[in-house]
Amino acid sequence: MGRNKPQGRGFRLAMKIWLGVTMFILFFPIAIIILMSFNTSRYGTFPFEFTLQWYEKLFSGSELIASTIFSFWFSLAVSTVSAILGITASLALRRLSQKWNKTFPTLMDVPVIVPWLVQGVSLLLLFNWLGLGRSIVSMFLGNLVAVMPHSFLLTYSRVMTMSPSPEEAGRTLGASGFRVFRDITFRMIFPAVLAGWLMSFVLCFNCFSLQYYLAPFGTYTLPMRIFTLIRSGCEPDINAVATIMCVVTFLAILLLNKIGFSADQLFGRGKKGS
Amino acid sequence: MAEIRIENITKTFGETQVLNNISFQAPDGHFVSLLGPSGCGKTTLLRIIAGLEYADSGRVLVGGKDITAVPVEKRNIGVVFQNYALIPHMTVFHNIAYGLKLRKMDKNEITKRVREYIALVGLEGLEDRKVPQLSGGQQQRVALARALIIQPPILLLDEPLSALDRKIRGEMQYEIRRIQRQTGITTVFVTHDQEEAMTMSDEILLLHNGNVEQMDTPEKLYNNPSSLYASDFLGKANTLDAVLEGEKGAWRVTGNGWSFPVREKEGFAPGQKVCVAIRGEQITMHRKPGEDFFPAKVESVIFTGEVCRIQAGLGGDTLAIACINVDAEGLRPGDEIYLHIPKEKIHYFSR
Repeated sequence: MGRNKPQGRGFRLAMKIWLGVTMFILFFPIAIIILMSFNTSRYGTFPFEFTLQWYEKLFSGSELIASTIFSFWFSLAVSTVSAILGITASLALRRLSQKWNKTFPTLMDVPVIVPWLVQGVSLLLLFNWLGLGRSIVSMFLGNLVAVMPHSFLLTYSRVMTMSPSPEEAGRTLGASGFRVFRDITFRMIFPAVLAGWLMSFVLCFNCFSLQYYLAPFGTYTLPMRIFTLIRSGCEPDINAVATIMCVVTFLAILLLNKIGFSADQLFGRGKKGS
Repeated sequence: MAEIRIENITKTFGETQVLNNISFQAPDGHFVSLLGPSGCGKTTLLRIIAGLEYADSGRVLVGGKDITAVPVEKRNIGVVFQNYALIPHMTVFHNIAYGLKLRKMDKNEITKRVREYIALVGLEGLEDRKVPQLSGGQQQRVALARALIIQPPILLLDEPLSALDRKIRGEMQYEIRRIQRQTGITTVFVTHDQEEAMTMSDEILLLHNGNVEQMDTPEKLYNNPSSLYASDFLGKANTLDAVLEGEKGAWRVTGNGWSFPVREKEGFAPGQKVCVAIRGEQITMHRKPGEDFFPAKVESVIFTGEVCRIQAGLGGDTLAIACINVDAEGLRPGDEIYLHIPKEKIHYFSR
């Protein structure tokens, strides 16, 4: 059979089935959770009877919703600080020598590679030693360490591949350092910053292990709350929360995708850095 | 508008000396090209004038004012970059208006002025286009308008045409020169293309390894190169090894089986080893012998249209001769020809 000839029919069919199985395994559990959040049965049994009671329960003072709101604001704060640090670190690094240009990003890979469980233990030891112990500050800093590399690496790669000449042109036209950043640099790196910010947000929102280690007693993020509930027996309002999280995550991914497209349009037909 | 004076500029990057004590002057309203191969320091020199780079020592004066220590954003110098450097998320209008906006000019006044400069560079009707929707030539026109609209005393162009294709490049060469004449702005133009430099400039500053090789008008630089490098960089010349010979008043250069009379030059003496530079089109070719003619043998003949290029064996060396088509009619490899080169067209340098 020639290289350019289409594969045999049987082969293609097998491949399609394989694809179907993969997609099924990936998405079926999520679909089930979404379905069950609308099911009347407390134990996830059929026949399916539509209800919104779990959502009602969730929003009428369930512990879950409080944790969700806390997790949301907490992740928002962490990811925003992470995005700002990502920008400042990238811009500073651009001015440094070649040696640091290579070394620093490699160092930033470490928190990405080291498992969160290990990081959690080491951070707890560090914070205990510093006298911070388990506190909101420790949890904030710990999560920041875990997600910052993501927003940094995304922003940094954009900063290093884009041409510095629009910024130089801005300066020759009379723009001060701050104006250049506001009018030109920030606009040029914005898609990467936003992608990094969303990435940090999602990672921080899901970062159970670090939160479990570092949260002060009595503070529950959503993943911690779910963990507790699952061990002590839960109600289907947990499915309702999961559904809401899925929807939010899907929207975030959709947004990321959209940025990808608009970044292409903005920065010239797949030609990077010119 | 203003003259530019560069005094003793020196710049090193790490171990490499990029600019070595450069001085030159561009009179008010002149168009000066910085010419040289890549790595000769021409772009660095331009960036130092712009303020994007700082010299280790030396001074930059514009209109008699020392601006060496003035930061870029306060220099008010128009710069056009090699890759246009347009701000990608702004339209044509906003790119051009940006400099005026920074100067807090009245909105109506900005609109009026931008219109004027859009007309100057011939971009009417494209005001609302985004940068990626423009061709290279159009982008360069926007960059030019953007640099000129702040009415700078001097304009700096860093290889602005090198990314354009040949036809548009010719068009833009003409356009840039037209706009420069119309505005009367003193201009420094960086290029590695000797033809481009000769077509456009009032004066050319030839740079070589961070040193000024020669600064002159294009004609003088071409006809009276002051060094072997200059003669070779501007239009490739024949370079041959020879020895100076003869009495006072009758110097000759004698090479491997050939000899031509030359003018006397200070700092040289008979017996000295020299390198001779002769331009192909300054050699006249005859079919019959005559006084001070030297015989040569045709090796190859190439017609390129109006010009005909001939390789001829001259003693043990080979000369490239360029002549108009008609003069080479019927010439075949192996034919005997007689070459005459006027004294003043033979340049020689110590080796």
